Amino acid sequence: MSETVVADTLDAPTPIRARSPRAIALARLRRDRVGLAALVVAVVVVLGCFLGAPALSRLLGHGPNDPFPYAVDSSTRPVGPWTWVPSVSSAQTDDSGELADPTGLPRTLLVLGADGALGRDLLLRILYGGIVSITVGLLAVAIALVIGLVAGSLAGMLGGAVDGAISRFTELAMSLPVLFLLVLVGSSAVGSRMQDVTLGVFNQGVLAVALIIGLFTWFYPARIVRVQIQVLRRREFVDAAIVSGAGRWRILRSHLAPHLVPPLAAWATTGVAIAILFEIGVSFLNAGVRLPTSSWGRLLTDTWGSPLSPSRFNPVYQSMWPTVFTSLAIFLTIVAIYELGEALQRALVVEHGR
Amino acid sequence: MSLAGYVLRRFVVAIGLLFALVTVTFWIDQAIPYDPGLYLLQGVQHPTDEQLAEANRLLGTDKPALTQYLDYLKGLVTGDLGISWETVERDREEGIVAETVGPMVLSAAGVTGSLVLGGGLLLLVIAIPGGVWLAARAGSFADHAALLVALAALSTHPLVLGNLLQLVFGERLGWVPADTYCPLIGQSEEYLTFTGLVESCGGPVDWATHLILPWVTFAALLVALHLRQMRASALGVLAQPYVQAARSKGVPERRIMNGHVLPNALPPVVAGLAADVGAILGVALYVEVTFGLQGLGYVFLRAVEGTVGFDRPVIIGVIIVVGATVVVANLAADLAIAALDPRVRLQERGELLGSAD
Repeated sequence: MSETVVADTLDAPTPIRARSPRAIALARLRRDRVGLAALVVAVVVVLGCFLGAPALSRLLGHGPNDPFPYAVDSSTRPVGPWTWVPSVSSAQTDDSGELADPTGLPRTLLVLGADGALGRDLLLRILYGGIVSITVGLLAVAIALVIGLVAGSLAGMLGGAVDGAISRFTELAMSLPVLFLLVLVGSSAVGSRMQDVTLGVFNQGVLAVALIIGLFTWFYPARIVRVQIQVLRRREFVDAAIVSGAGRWRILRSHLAPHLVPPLAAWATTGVAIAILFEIGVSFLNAGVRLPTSSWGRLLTDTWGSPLSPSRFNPVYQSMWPTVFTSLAIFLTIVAIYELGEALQRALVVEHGR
Repeated sequence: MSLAGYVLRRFVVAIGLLFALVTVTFWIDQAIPYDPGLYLLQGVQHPTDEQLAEANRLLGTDKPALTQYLDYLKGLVTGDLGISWETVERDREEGIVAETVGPMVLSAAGVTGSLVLGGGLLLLVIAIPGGVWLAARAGSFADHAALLVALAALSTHPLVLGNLLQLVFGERLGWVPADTYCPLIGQSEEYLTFTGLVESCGGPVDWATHLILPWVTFAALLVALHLRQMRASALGVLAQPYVQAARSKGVPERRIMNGHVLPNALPPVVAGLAADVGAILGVALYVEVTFGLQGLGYVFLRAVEGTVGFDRPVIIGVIIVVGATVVVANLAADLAIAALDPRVRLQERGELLGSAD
């Protein structure tokens, strides 16, 4: 009996199919439940912001920058979630400074309440703010990746004086007190002129902020690329490529580049999360996107002030809701991106000797 | 290469870096249009051109930019960082008096140092054992919960977290002081507490209690970042064959963790921490502002946000101190890693450090 089984397996060996690294990674990703959940959340957040925001704005009949004077009480404290407010942008006040009786006015719904003293729709501002924050995150990482890839490959491939120069420059850039320089740039004339560059696609200031963040984070990918190339250059397959007459550029493109993808992909996801957090920091330093455009950083600044004009939280004038919901949106996005990054890392890991 | 030679070479590079930093900052400032002379004329409604020229002559800012730059470097060599323009005042007829930048920046560095050292200690005490502890039970409920909490801390900006802590523990509950810095040695100037009392404080106890909330705020964000890194690093070590070998020999789990995992997982995390010193000092800026600590970030913001323009000597002074700290921290980290990890030979420092992440 057992002999026949052995014979069977010998007769019909299970076919071994060669799978490309990409196929292996995809198969692993498909089995990774946490990773899939993170992917779903990330897609929902992105779609919710980029498509959901304009759709919801149409549905509700007001935009993210429309102020509703009835959405704040007499001490400018914004209303809480799920409140119908009269949809008028200006209102008469009576002798005592109270708003005139709103009965009979058409009403509109503020799903998460109002954002602050101006009484704008918090949900819409969070969603539209998400567009800004996520664009800044993606754009900043793209900029950092491009610069880092070029600088890192140059340093790694050419070595010698070029490597020395680039490494010293990286060290210089890394020892710059980033936030301090952001303040400097943000409050200077150059910074405010940069705000107006939109390329016709982005919100005002998005490109400027992304550029600043990208310019101050590129050395991380540069370092990864340089170290990877230096380690890989000693491996046999590079020697083999050199022997078969491949040039530097060809070795870089077809032999080394595939090995750069996993660490860079892992860095990029973390980088997007860090860039989003950076945008918040930049807004606090008044160097962020220009008002009234909303961003997650700006939404928090409304309540907590900035280092230049700090404000103490006062429950008489302020509400905790804007902070809670904005922080929730940030939390959800960061968690999704981080978990996605970890899943990517798990999927892309190369198992040696198996 | 000998160790002394290595340290010496690093110092030469470091001085070059600091020189480059000063140069870059000086010429960025030159490119920004404002009139430093106005610092001397802050009370004057509509200063005339003569008054402005006079003020600039007193500040030395009437000279060509290159001369100013060389003068500044000359002062720097002798340890003179110049005067703070913001504090400048006319003395009698001809002269001017002002705070010198050196002592000003040094006292600010003391404040920031207190914040960073205490917060950093808190960070190390939580993140390093915490990361190893989580790695040992990766995938458990505690692991997932801790990582979620860490991400929540990461998503809460220090300015928000600091204000919340101040509001709840400082003002509502009154458990700890909500603000002000108390010097470790000596007494502070008298200040008004939020309850309306005039107080003066100083000494180790006041110093520590007044810094508890800033330390926690400062550590929260960094713990969130480095707990994950430490955990990932420890997980990498746990997968190594020598850990399996130790297990199969019957070495107790506790000793594996302390003897094998911890020392091998630490170097990349230390390297990461050192590389992030610039960013860490940035976080300190938010904490200082929230709690009214007059540290480097606070001094810097005041210099940048003057009504006139930029208080250039103060800005460069702060950048020199911060840059020097970053350089020294990086050097210290590299030496610490060499001491922690015998595999790292100094010559191959860069590659091994890099390949660890």
